Amino acid sequence: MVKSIANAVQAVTSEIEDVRAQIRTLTETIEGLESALPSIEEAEAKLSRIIDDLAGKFGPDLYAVTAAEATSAQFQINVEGNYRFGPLMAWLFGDALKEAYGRVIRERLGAGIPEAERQKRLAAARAKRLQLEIREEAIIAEAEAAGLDILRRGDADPAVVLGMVEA
Amino acid sequence: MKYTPDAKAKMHRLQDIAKARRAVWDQCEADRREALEQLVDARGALTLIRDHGGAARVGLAEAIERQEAIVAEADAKVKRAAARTQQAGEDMQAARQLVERAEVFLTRKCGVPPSAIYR
Repeated sequence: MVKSIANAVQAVTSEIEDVRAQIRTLTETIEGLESALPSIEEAEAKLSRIIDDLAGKFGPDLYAVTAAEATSAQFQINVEGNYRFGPLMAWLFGDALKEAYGRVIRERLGAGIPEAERQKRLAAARAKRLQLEIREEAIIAEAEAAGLDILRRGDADPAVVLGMVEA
Repeated sequence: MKYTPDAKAKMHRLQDIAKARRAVWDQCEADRREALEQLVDARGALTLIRDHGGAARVGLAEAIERQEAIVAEADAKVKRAAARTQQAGEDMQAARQLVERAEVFLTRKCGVPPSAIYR
């Protein structure tokens, strides 16, 4: 009798440890995907958008160079004081910046994950983890009903623990 | 998501568990302090025996040996108590963390007023 109880406890403990190990692995996978770098093509496209956006923020002061009273001093004040450096650079040297940064991206980025693929993998991993958490909670509830207390993880999904998600 | 009576019962249960884990930690901590006091006493007694073992010095070595054994036992007891306290502390923390996360989930994601979580 005592031995069979011990065996049952061991079986439950072993099962919960196995489920938790899988949850840990999936959590690491999810965290990795959440911070994964994009593909080179996507990074370059994003770079291009950023530089174009920055260039669009530059507004050349035509009056400062065309008005009768325009002076080189006034133009210098505009360039050095009134214009923000980033937009001015992007407006003047947008293509050169894209090329230079693009080279760095191609050299350093390595194998990234295309966004659509990243989202797909994230969704799959999250769904699998949810199923595992539901299984974990079912084991704990079953054990509790049999008089065996298993401590829940502090980072367990509250929706799962409270039974507020569909299996 | 609807905050069902079953979910509310579960919240009460989680809170009860957190309180129970706190009580376990309190007890472990009290045991640890008591074990520590015993160790201090045992070490004090050993010092006394070494310093004032008696004029005749008869049986002094045996007395010291006996007291050293008592100190070693008290020391081991403190270490065991400290390990139990640490584990109880981690368990208490996990239970408390889950209660807090569940409360945040209910209020922020389900729109349950804080006052209605346990009532």
